Amino acid sequence: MIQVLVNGVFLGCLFAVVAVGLTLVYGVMEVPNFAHAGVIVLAAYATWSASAAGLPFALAALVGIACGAAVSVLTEVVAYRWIIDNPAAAPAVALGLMLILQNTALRLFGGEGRSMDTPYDQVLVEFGGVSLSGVKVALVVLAVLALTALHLILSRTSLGRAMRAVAQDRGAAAMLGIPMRRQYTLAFLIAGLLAGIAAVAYAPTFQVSPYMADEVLLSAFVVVVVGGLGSVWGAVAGGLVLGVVEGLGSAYLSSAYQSAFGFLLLVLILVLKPGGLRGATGRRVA
Amino acid sequence: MLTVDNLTVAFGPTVAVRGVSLHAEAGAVTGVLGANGAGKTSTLLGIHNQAPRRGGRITLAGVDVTGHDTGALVAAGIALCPQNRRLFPNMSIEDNLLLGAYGHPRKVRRARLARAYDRFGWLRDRGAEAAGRLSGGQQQAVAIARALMSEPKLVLLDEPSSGLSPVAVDEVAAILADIAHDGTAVVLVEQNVRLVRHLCDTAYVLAHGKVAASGPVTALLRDSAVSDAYLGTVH
Ligand SMILES: Nc1ncnc2c1ncn2[C@@H]1O[C@H](COP(=O)(O)OP(=O)(O)O)[C@@H](O)[C@H]1O
Ligand SMILES: [Mg+2]
Repeated sequence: MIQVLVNGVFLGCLFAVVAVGLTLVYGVMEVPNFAHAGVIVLAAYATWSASAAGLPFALAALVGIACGAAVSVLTEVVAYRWIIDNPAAAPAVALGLMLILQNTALRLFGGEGRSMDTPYDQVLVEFGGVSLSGVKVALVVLAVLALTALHLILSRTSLGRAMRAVAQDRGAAAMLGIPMRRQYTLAFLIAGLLAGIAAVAYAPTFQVSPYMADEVLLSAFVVVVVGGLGSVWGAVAGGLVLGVVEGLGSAYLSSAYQSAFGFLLLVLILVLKPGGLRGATGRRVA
Repeated sequence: MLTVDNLTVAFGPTVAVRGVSLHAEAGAVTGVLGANGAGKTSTLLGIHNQAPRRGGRITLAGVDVTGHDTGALVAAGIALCPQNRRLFPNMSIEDNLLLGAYGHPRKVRRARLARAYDRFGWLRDRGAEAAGRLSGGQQQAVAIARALMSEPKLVLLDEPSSGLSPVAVDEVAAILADIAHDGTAVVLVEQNVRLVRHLCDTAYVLAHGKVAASGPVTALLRDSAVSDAYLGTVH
């Protein structure tokens, strides 16, 4: 039971890191960023390639994270920026970008999965009768560090304050002379860094493949909706809840339907609380 | 301080402002009156480059700032206090104020925050409170304080009295008189004729996107044709 819960927390951290990137972009730009999955894929391949080329894992991971940030910002600069006044086009553009990024990976690296080795593959952490692989411990640590850093940026810096303002009322922020484009780029930069971290953290537990992030993306969208669109803390809380629910569901019911338990939760919560768990007035990034 | 020359603003096929010209002096409150839909908000947004300007020139203190983006206009000294206040209700009062000085170094932001607390003493101990918790009048004061955080030469205010109690309106009036007294140019868009009469020497009356009448407030409001036709008020 405890083992299952711990695994759920592991999944939850992964969902939270991915969902926070989605919710940040949604909060600032109102884009459902499906391309986030493609960013994760390319970041994972970049890490894998750098590692295969002989770089030490830590450096390879940095290469991957930087690649995630670069690809994410690129999607904003070449695509999303141009449809900001046409929100109805956003889902189609996002889906198209996701396919482009995944096909880029397919083209460059082929379809078969690659396994990513890390220095902590073989480490097994025993903790009160619960055993955790080093990979999972690393993911939880990375997630906590990344989300704490993000919290500090949003709450303590001028850019973070502006980002929260843009998410809450874009028009009002613009009237204060806050440059919108810089905020959009920054949101995608942060989301890309988080996607890179997610890729580096979880690729070793599965495989690197063009479609490795599909299910995570779906779960993360569930989390974003459950947590309240644009709410960072909602995404963190929602991520943990969903991780535990999916963990329990797959352990005691059927692992083939792991993601289905998430959707069940989504429908249930939306029926009970249409605005999501943090469904307060208006959007927020905080 | 501000000269608007032949401003035209259009939202697609809807022409909201049709060749408006107006002038606002430093140290005075200039009124802009008009019924709902007359084009008052669009005029302010056109000046601030927040609405599509189709023609016209904006000059601030002799410098042509036509076409500058809003960030540059704020930096040049034009602050806008928007209709419905538009505070960030879930953010703290202090965050709201600091956003008014976005882009300035931390030291400058802090110094201006201290000055805002000097002007609005009652805010000093409430900086951490969510702005949305304040009463309407208090929120309007914060919205004005936020606009002042950019240390503007010119403040554009869009119906600051709307939805406020008579007491709160008097407080807003006192704040605006104070700002003008400091030498700042103030453009006050209002439907509250009493407030304009109290604060302004000069006013413009907009109707259907055009200046229908302008001049000294006393003469303007004495003219019952203007009052009846454009202001919908009975004197
Ligand atoms: N964003 C917009 N899109 C389309 N039409 C608008 C927009 N904003 C204002 N208008 C139109 O412009 C005209 C003037 O509106 P506005 O400037 O808000 O008037 P006022 O502030 O005097 O009430 C109105 O007919 C209004 O419907
Ligand atoms: Mg208006």
